Amino acid sequence: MERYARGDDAAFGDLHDVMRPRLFGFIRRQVRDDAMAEDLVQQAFLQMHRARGQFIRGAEVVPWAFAIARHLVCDSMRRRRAAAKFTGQIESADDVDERPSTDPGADDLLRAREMAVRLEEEMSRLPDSQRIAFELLKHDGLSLSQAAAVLGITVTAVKMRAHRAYIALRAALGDLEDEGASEP
Amino acid sequence: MSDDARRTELLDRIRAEPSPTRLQHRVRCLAAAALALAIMVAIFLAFGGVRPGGPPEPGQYLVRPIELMVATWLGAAALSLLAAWQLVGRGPSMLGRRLTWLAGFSALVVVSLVVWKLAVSSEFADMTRRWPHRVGLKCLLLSLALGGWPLAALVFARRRSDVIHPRATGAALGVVAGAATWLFIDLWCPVAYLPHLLLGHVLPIALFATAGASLGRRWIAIART
Repeated sequence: MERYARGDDAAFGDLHDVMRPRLFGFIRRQVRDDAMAEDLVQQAFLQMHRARGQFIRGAEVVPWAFAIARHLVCDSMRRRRAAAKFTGQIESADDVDERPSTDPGADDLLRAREMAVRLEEEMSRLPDSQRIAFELLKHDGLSLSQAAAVLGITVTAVKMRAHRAYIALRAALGDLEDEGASEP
Repeated sequence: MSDDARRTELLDRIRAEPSPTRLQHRVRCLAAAALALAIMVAIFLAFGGVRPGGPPEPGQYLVRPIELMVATWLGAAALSLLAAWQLVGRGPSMLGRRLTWLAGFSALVVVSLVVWKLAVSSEFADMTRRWPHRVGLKCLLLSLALGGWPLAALVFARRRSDVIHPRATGAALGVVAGAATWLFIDLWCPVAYLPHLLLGHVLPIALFATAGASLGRRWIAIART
């Protein structure tokens, strides 16, 4: 981004290649819609492009890019809710394929899949503030200070939210853990 | 659509919508600031320019000592520069300063401007007296005429840059514009009576902060296309 801010047009392609997978993963988990996630990733890069001249020398790109992505996600969710209210339609957020595996020898895979589905369900039940803090730290690999910058809160608040999410998930998924432990 | 196709589409879109480099952006900001300053000076001169004194009551004439004028102006200038550095600059992060910092520093700047003006003026005889015919409406009017220009220049400089709290950033820019206006009003108005200061000098800063918050939501926040 520093190269791009200085006027090297080709640098934006490199920035895109490095940041796109991380941004797409983050946005995809929030909106659960590939097409919308693609659109929002494009929007995020356009915002970064527009802020080219205002980029601070030596500033971190990752928290900034995630903060833009988060802003765009919140904005699009708000629009989606407003549209759903307007049309009277309630969208089903659960687009996970829950069909069991037909492979009779894939017990482990099936259990892992069930666990992933349960995890996703339990994550969706968490308050947004806790879920996003948890995901930024655990899925996206941001540091505490970077996550705090993205969310506009203190490091302590990030720790607290992520810890609460962790406690809630552990309580909700405790039965799966017990099942796994009781198996030979 | 494949990843490569999306990448190409994005790069094409970016080429079609060029954005200024850092150097170009700085040049534009400096031009906007120079224009705002020129307009402020023109309005200030149209209102009479520097006024060392005036009549507190009919038949009287009170003149501010030059040391008082210089001291209050230099203190206000130092506070304005400090405000610009802390409230317009974003520090080392693209996400800007914390909300509590913006709010706390803005309040501190306004209080310091008033305290400095009163403290220095109280060292000189008769300089904090009440002026019955100067409640502060003229200062309010001149402040409003002056302060919109720096606010517009600051919003231009920071447009589409704040992801986290654009309203607070806009309000902070309003305080900086108000502090810049204070410098002109300080040269123009000889009154250092607290109720007058609150109405004619502080209220405009609050109004610019409110206007800045409103502009912040619309112009400083990033916007989806």
